[in-house]
Amino acid sequence: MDHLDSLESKSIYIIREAYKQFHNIGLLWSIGKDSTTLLWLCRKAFYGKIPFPAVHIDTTYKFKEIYEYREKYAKEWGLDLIVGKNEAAVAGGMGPDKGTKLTCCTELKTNALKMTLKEHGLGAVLLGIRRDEHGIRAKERVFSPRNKDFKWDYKDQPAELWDKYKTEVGSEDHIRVHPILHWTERDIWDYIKRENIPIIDLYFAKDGKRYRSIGCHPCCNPIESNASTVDEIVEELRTTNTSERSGRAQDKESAYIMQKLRALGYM
Amino acid sequence: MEKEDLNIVFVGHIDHGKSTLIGRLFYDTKSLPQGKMEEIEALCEKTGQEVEFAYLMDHLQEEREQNITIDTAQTFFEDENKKYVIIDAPGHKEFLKNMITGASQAEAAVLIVDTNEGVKEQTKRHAYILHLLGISQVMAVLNKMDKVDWSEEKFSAVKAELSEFLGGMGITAEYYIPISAKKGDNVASHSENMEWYTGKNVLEALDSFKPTPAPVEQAMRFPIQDAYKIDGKRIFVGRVETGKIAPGDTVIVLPSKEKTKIKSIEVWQAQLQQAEAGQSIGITTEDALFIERGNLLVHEGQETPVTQEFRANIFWISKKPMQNGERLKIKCATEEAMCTVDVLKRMNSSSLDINADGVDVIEETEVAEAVIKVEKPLAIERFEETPGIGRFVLERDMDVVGSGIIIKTEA
Amino acid sequence: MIFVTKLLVIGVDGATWKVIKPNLDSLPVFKKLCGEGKSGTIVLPEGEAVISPAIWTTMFSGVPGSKHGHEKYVKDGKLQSRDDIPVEFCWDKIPDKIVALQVPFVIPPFNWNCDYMPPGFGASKDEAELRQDVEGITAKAKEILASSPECAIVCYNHLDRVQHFHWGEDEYVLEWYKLVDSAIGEFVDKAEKVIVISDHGFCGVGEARDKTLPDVAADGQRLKGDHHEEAIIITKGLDCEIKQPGDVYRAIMEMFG
Repeated sequence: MDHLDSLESKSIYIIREAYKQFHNIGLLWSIGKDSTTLLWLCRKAFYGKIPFPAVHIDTTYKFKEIYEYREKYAKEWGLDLIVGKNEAAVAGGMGPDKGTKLTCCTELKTNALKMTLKEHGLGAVLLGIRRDEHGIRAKERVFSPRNKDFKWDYKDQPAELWDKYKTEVGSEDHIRVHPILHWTERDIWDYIKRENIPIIDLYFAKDGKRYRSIGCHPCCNPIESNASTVDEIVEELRTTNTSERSGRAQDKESAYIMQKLRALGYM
Repeated sequence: MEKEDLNIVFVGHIDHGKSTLIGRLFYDTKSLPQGKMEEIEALCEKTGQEVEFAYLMDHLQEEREQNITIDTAQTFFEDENKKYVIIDAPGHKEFLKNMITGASQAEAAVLIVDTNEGVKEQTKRHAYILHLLGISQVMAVLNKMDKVDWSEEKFSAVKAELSEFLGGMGITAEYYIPISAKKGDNVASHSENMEWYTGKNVLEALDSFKPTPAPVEQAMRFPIQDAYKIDGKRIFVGRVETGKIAPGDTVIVLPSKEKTKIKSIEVWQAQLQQAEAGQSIGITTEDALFIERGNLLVHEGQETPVTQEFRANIFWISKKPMQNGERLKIKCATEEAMCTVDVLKRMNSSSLDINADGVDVIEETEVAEAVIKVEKPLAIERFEETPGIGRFVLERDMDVVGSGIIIKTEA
Repeated sequence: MIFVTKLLVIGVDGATWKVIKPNLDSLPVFKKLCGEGKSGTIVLPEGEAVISPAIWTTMFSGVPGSKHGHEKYVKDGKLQSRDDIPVEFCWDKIPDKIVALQVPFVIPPFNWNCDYMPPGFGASKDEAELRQDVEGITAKAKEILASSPECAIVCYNHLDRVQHFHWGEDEYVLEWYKLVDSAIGEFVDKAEKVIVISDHGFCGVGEARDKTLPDVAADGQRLKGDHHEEAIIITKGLDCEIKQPGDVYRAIMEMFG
């Protein structure tokens, strides 16, 4: 087994474990590269037919390409698609220009997810987060409980060893399962390349710019890049990873500050 | 060429210098954020303290507020040959469950001892945990040599004390290295202050450690995770724990001991000619047997014992003690069942001395030798034979409260 | 007395009349400033985010929040720095005349022509660290004013941190106002003209025009106070009036630009 094989096998094990433990599970699919990779792994785990819904939280401010991609592949891959929306907030005109961007995110993302989980009775969600994203993720468990306010008590987390996961929580709580926690951004792109996973083309450079992460169009800024294929992105990451060591290391300090800001309620 | 990853955990008594050593390794391998060192130097100067590498780790983490590492934080540093994933497990007794969570992911361990203070309570407890987790690549680092005038005599004394303790529980440290993490002696370069030491420095010793190879040459063990019905086929999925499995193999399903043959090995859109340890696969069988989660598939002639009683060492990590005879949930491989735990011996996990207070309760951080009585038959093995089958966790009220390793497959 | 420093701007993040006015007898420096100068209330306009990064940016660039768009210390998972904010600040335009200490439109707060790194990177809620920071900033401010720049800007963000978690604990909050009051007193008389201003006021969670923060912080601590749209302003010796945060920028540019 090579590196990608072993990442894949571990993720599939976790996905199957999550499904076995929680039949009321959903996959949170943002259409981004990480959650699409996770979706791909779910297809592998269940031989092409994912036995639980894929949940897309629609803020109504997503790139139009996201909607097109979502409809196309939901159909092609036979997904049980749930589109979650905070209808009341959308009807009330909530947007990044109304109030603050923070309230916008809280209403259209967090609260929309809360409502969707409740409405569809989902007790667990699969999420495509990675440990290398930023510092605090290093503390994440594979099976990570959240209370009804979505609070993550990172100071008092369950013990997790030998692939034995926290599989039971109180009725008000839910579990977030992180099957690709052990992957890096490089791994994701290497895997996308190897598996030929169709990825939304916002990631590929047009006119010298591309998106490194995608979300709502008013709040997403592209980066300068000429990488217009998966190969070129892999190459770009390889070279930036070595030449931008200090930049990356800076991220750790940022992560520390962000953690403190979070403890202040900012973010 | 892709660098190998090595997961490494740093353990030892609080204040014996874990964070300082990690900080020093970061610094000496130039894995530090730019300007970080200058900032720390300025900070230390302002507050009239000596430059302390531990600030580094602490600076990068929230733990600074409490001056202890709360959780298992993972960071990376690299040398020419390897990328090291550092799991800085908390030394504080309070956070034992986090320490175990971190250490359980490690392939190698660095055990740090303050040469001036010698072997302390947590040194021993952490060593015991390494033993419990089956981490065999261990180096002992005798820190703060600058405080004992670089004395070989002092080093030898602590080394003797430590190796006796480690030997007592079957751990062989591959290296004993005298260092000063603060000053950098024998961390990434050889110490001029200790000409008498000619062995490897810490970085060289780390470099000699190897990622754990997948146990492909052992007897095949395939714990069943789930059963799916896909296009009319019943597929039994799971991850191969050890050995290799192929279509045509005659296998025994444990605990039922029914026999069948592997018909196919299924992954998405393909069938495999063979699968080996570590792979997540699915299988179909020649006979329509009732196979379910928790069952263990093995090759004929290589069966594990099937029993409802076995003997184990249990490490209790919950604040709420265990009552002798308490009914708990056991999770072993993919099987789970209710069990009771009859304690035979109760020990302090740092001294391994028998607690004379009797065996009515087991408190946090204590170790018990116990007979586990399971309410249904389990296919098990001794931890030493197959770690993945011979270890388990105990749960109470939805939380992991203890972990254990099987030492005898009968009572 | 000849003042070499013509203008001193003291920014006090989150300071509100609700605490100062009833306690003027315990806050001698605020009391003296109010007596000597003009005091008033800034009501932040509707549509502008009542949130520190936005308002401090406006205050020293003159650009309204709706134009500069900088609202959060962290955006898209990335900690924002000066370079992420598309404005020219007053110190960009008159670089030699201004020294600025700890302006909290970014975290760690921004310095111009001076160096200072706060304990906890300016994002602390640890009481000891906050106290240490008040002392550190005050010492640095005295040092700055001793070197007599034409314009000095000094900001304290501690009342904001304290009020978020202790709003309603009147005595405790007042202790922190007293601390800041006496800190300011150590150097406020070193400049000819003085502006004391807050970016926003404070109120209980749920009482604000726009709720800006969650009920519970990431570490589980409950927030008790939220930003209020009424901020404080005290000016001493100033010719113009400060009605909105952006007027501070205009006052500085008028004097030195």
